[in-house]
Amino acid sequence: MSAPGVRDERLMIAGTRVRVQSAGDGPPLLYLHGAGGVSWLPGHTALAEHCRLIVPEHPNWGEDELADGLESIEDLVYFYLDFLDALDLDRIHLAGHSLGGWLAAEIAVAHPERLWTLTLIDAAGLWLPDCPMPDLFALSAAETARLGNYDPAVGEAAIAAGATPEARAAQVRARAAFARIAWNPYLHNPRLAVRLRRVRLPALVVWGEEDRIIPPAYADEYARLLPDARVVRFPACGHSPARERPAALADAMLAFLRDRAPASARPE
Amino acid sequence: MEFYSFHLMPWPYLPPDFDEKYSSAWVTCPNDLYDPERGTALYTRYIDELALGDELGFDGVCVNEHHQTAYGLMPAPNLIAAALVQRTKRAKIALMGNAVPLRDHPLRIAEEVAMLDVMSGGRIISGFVRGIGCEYHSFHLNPTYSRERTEEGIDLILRAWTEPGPFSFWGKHYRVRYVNVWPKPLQQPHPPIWLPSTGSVETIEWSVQRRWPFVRTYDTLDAIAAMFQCLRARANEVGYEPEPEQIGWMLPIYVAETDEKAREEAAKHVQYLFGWLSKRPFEFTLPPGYISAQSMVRGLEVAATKTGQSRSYDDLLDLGIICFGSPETVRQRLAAAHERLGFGRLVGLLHFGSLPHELTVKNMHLFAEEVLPFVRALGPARPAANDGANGRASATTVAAEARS
Repeated sequence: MSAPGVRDERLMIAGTRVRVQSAGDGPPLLYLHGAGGVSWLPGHTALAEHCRLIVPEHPNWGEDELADGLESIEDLVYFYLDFLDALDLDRIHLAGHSLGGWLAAEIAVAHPERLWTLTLIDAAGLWLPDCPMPDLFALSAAETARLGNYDPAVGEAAIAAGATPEARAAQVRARAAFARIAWNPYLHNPRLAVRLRRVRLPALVVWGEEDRIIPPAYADEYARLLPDARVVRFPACGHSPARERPAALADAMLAFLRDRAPASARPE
Repeated sequence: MEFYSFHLMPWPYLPPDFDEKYSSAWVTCPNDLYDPERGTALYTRYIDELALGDELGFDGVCVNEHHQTAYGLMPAPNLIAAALVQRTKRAKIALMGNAVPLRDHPLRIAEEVAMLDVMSGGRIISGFVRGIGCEYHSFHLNPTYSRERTEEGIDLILRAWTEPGPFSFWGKHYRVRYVNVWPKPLQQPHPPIWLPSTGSVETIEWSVQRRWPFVRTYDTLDAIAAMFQCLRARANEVGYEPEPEQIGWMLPIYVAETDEKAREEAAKHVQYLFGWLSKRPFEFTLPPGYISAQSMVRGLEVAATKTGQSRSYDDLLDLGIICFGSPETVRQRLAAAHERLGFGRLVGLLHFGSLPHELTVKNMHLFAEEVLPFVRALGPARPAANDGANGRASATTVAAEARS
């Protein structure tokens, strides 16, 4: 289900069928969703007023069977390079949330020349032994929703929305795809920390101050490891700013892009 | 009909406040609840109980593999099997089984099982399992590769046992330049393979394709009947009628002087198995990708209806999850189930939960004397394709005939 004014297509990319939602005009901004799956959130609508926002669903996330050859974060990096080529996108703004943030950081490490900017939103990818991320694979969907959202009402609404047979089936598919990529090492790549030095781009690190899934200590670690990072934290916000602080997220991202993007790639 | 006794080697000393204080007997159940000094006495006792099966003339004794749990204290089933090689003379020793994908190197299984087979003079049955979902948490192994690694690992083990070495094996998960196991197994071409299963459709398919015995662990009689029917139907599609020996059934069995005495002596001990020892969150049992998406959705739907209450003794009996009672009751129930299910191998958990040693020994003797001769006489059954609700009444007749 997509929002009004959003194009919702199925594209074949490198032999893999993927769902792609997009809206708006302006410089292309690719948004990579988190482990729970894709949805068009209020924060997306706000961004699409100023950019050409492209929100693909990761391959495997909507499928009953996990595909061979899409089995690691590295495989997804190459898939998204194919994706950029297929859409004729020479250069983009890249943003990612949670597992999608980890993926965005990996793409930035591998091919910084394809990006103008990088935005990480409550991003996975690193591991702090003194501040471990909780084991989402040991939690039910309801427990995850309660842990992930600061506002209990938002959590309960997510639980209610997830109680239909269709939503349950989507969760099952998303969790299997998530596990294949991120079971062990858990939601991170031990090599990423030393490679982040390659991301000599303007980077924005956005975090919910009350994120209990990937605690804000990880924002500080990304800020420390990225050569050129700005950090914005949202108080009274959990793991999903696009859900809990959509306007603030869009404002922070647009302010960053207007400030740091080259003139040709600056949103209005 | 062959009869095997199976021991899970559970930890019987969980504290009285276990249910209030702990959410799981698996994965995260704190190991300070385990006491190694009591553990020494317990292993001695449990190995005695397994060895007694040999003295009582059972066809085999069974061990299995679970990790980081009070449910069973055999993370390394081959170690217990090695002890049993020394303690038994005639009985087969069934490994039910080695959890293939949990090993980084399946050749360790090929080697250890071959050693056991040679040491025992060819008495080993080599069961292969995937390990239940909990093991993937305990070993932090990716559950989405469980099936692939199992299939590939079994393939490597079988080739290691049967093809002249050295040869090379290039799989997706296991890549070995020199496969050349010493020793090779004594039984030729290799020890019998069993597929113990909690009931996945995929394991049925393996059993059908390779004709390896499918041994279903305890569940409701309806669920087991449906599963065996599914196996037969698939075998018929492939073009054969499975022999009874291809179908095995495992369940807790307790024989006492009367039905009432069975309840008095054993009810709370079997409820310890189905209550505390089986306690764990859904996410431990079925991690993502461990079973197909469709099966997982069904599992979630069932879980959503669960109350969290464990089943009563009467429910366990009525649903056929356990077979407890006087010798006559147990004989009748087994005969009825046999007619309905058509199994050719019966695997009895004659110890279960917190059952004390004296009652275990009494149960084993009563079973051996009063039930085993009857079980052995059960001939091949060919259950009707249409499994009707009146199975029990007609089975009682068969039981009576079989005894006369």
